[in-house]
Amino acid sequence: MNENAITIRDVTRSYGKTPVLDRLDLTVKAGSIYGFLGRNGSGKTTTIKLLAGLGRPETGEISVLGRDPWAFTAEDRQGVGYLSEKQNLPPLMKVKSLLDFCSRLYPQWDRELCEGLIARFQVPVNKRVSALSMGNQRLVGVILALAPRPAVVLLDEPAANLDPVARREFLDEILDLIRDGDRTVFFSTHILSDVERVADEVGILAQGKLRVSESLDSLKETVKRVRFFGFPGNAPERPPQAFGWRVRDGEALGTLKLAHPGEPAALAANWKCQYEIIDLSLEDIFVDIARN
Amino acid sequence: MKTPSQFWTLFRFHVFASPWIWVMPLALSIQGFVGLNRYYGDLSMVFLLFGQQMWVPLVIAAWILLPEFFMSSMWMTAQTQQQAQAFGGEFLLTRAVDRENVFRCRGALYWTIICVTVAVWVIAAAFKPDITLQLNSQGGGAAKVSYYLDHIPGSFVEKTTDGGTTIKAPTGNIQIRVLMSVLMVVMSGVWLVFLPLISRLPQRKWIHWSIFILGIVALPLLSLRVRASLEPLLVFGLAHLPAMVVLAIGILLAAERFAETRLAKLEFM
Repeated sequence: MNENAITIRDVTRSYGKTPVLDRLDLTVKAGSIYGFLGRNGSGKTTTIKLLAGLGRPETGEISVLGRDPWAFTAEDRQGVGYLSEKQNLPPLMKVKSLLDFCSRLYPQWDRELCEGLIARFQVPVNKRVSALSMGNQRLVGVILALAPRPAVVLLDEPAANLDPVARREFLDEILDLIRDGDRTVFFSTHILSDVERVADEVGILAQGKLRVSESLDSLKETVKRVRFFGFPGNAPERPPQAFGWRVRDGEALGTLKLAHPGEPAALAANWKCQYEIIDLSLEDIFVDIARN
Repeated sequence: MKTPSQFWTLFRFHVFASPWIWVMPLALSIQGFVGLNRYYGDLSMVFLLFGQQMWVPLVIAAWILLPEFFMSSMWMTAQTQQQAQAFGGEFLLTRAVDRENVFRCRGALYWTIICVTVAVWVIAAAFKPDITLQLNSQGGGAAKVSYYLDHIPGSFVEKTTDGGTTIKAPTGNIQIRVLMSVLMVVMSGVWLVFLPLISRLPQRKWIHWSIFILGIVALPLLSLRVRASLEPLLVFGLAHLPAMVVLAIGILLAAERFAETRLAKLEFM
């Protein structure tokens, strides 16, 4: 397997005249769980749809398991599981028939895993999809994405509409899946605690560009809120490495991406002021990056 | 999964995905049993009947091949959108299938529906195969009598008890139904080409809908207006029926290939 399961290079995509992705670059290592974050409309779903081969980028290249998703054959698709944000399952089919239909398409379909997930999530298989609650429909989608044991799983807002118990079960399942082999999970979500729980790496998308993409530990290590105070004159302008910068009452509060731990000290020395470093949670980091 | 096996798996999925897809062809088939051998002395009535039905394949085609057309429209009720979702592209195209196979399978379902419908028309005609054209009631002159006799295979003149003239064709109804079937297949082929063309327009749904509705409304109305002038075409078709059937099969195959290739390149973003 390639070192990177997913590679996106210089990808641009728009809807009509509205740009969505702006020269996006992203790589996901094989065997990792990648949490993809961004505000509504930031381009997460568009990215995942491009990775699933539902569309083509206007510029740039996309590769999933070394292949262009737009040119995926049935065999290529056996290696990629996908859960859509809108969950467009055939509404009139019974869950059982739907699972049976999908199992015929995948030679590697894991019946044991499928039955285990049905039991674990308590999905009523004899009901029509349209008769299921939104949460259960979501779980059927999750089962359809995981049961073929694909090498790459693309999940768009997988935990939406799930109750806390089902969400926990689902996250455990994702972890099991990863432990089981060299599999890659790429998922978008607004639930940051889920990302903190399972993701190895985090990417934050804002205005169609990937603002950060690194491991959770590294992100927390390198993105800090720094309070600069005691300036001899006016507070300085926003430095280039700041995601956010607010000046009030002679103090400057910035969220900085630090190239090295000594950077706040160097800035403070340059501005002849004092500073204080404040650790941030993932939510604080996300909000600061996405808002600014 | 091998391609033929994948095709049949997909075909079965499509056949049972939504029972609603079978309502329209059922309605069209039933019409085959009702009053279609009454032409009131005027063969151009065939166009009048056909004109009322020719938009139906467009709706069937859109429903099967491009349900997204209905799924995100604010004009459609939530229930209609849910029914359309049965054939939604996003779900199928992200399973382990070949893109072309999905659209080939949808095309096969579309043509199955059309062909079953027209087959019912022809079979229904076998129960009342003859037609009688009462020309005197429509003011048909000698020239028209001769024209019909020359072009409708097996037709002959019969005098009525009140001294009027009728033309009888012992298998005329079957011939007309076959010709209507040819027209239906040709029209279905036209819609199959039309749909991928409008689906590639820029992302402005109102353009798609305007053209779509224009297709449904304008053409039947047009057929009302121009049916009389289309009569020679009909008579020509009756005189060359085997060639018309071959032409229809050719159009079916060409339209299917075109639609399959074009739709397989469609994005589902």
